[in-house]
Amino acid sequence: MLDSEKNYLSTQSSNNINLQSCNDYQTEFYNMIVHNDRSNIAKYVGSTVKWQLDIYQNNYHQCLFSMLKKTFIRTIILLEKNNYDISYLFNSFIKDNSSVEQNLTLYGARFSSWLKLQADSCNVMMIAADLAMLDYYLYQCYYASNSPLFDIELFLALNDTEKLNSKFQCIPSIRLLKSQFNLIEIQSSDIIKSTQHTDQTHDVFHYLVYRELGIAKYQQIREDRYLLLSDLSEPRTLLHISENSSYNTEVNMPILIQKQWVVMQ
Amino acid sequence: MIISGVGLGLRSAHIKSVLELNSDVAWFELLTDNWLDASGIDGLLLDEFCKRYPVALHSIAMNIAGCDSLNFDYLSAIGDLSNRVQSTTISDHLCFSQVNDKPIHDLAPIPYNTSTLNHVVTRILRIQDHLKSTISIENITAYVNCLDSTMSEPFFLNEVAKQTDCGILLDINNIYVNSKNFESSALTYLYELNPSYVCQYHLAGFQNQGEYLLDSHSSYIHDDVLKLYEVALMKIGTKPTLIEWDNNIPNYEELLSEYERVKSVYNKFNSSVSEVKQR
Repeated sequence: MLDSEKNYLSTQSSNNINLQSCNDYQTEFYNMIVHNDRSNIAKYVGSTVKWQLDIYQNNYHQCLFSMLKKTFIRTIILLEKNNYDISYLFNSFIKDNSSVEQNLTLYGARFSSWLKLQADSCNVMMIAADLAMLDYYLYQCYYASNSPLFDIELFLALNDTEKLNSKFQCIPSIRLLKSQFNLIEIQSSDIIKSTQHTDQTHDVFHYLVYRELGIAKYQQIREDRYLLLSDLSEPRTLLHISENSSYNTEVNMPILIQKQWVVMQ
Repeated sequence: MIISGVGLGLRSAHIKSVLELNSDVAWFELLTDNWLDASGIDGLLLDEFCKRYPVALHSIAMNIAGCDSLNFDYLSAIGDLSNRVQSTTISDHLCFSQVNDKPIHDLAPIPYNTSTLNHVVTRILRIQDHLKSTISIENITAYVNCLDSTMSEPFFLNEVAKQTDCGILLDINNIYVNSKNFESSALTYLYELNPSYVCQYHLAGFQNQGEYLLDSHSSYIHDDVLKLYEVALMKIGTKPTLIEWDNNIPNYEELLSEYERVKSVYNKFNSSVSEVKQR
């Protein structure tokens, strides 16, 4: 037993907790890992050889890099097909965006908007930004929590007034995306052709990301269904959505119920 | 369900194989953070899995030695998962993993001294109080030494266990890697620990990087680590033992061969203990 350890046993009851030094050390450790600032860490861990601190920095970097690689599968294919250096892009993104959530599945949330900032007038990067959003939504959709099944019998047992006042909301795995690009066509065709196509049209494409038998999928949907689903991100009464003619509620609502994309609150 | 014998760390790449083969593995460890709020296919697999096997929960983000406030939402989610999978074993690491509410996605060492000891004890008591269950804490691989340390790691662990009633999850590979990287004695470490506090062992493979050993969990358990494990079994006793393999994950059959290797060591000591008891 060390002398200091014996000392501890005899004095622990009168000890005052002083954690300032430990707190400062942890802050410097964070700065070392995330901001590559090694200027103050020696005060707490003494002189080190290069590999000692490199390990922590590499672990942190690899953790984020792998998460981006796992999330942005379609975006990577598109960018590599167009000769972009995906490692360079991911490394730059990580440099600009430290991780703020313990839950790594959320790390890519800002990647799409970051790509847009890099895009300038580059069409490929603009497409990649939208595709990145789609990738991110698919990833989120997969991990979204379950929701109870829509109780159709309960709904049918309601009288008309009760039906109109009952509230509906999208299930947690639903995600919606609007893009000026035909993301489905772009993935299966040559990028330059797709870029020309997008230059010539002012179309807007609407996409729904959903989960079917545990698998995250997406499909293009009509604008009226997109608008209805967007509104249903918050609980809405049937009366409220029926009053908006752009939702085409009579056609769309039975489909959303049948697909189990909405629940009754 | 109580865990005993040798177990495997469950990885998503293997889950279907385990269920299809109805593997004869005593128990599995779930990486808690990957299964919180598991839903969809993952949720169904998890529920099916836990009907068949006892599981232990092992997390990485309690931030036991951190200076941030404890994350009680996270702890509640662990508690919910523990109820869902009927686990009686919850563990995390003796380290900090977050600073000013930002994660470092790693397990970082703390200095071992009176202040940090009291700090860790207080936090573990709060965690256990919230979970209404005792936890176990694991010794980590550290690649730096903290200058403010005035105690050895085993002494620190003993004191934490004594004051909180928590268990020590002893990672044999981590002891070995640290002893090689910092030229300390792994045997002294083992002998300094109070055996009654140790409740589980972890085993894993490391990577030899020439200048240092990296705790990579990416290969077979090194023979020297298995020898150290044997010493632990002799000195501390047989405890539930887990094999971790997180990178370069082999196919399930290959992992099972490693499982059998560890099981034969475990059984050798477990049966000799039983024989002594019978006599």
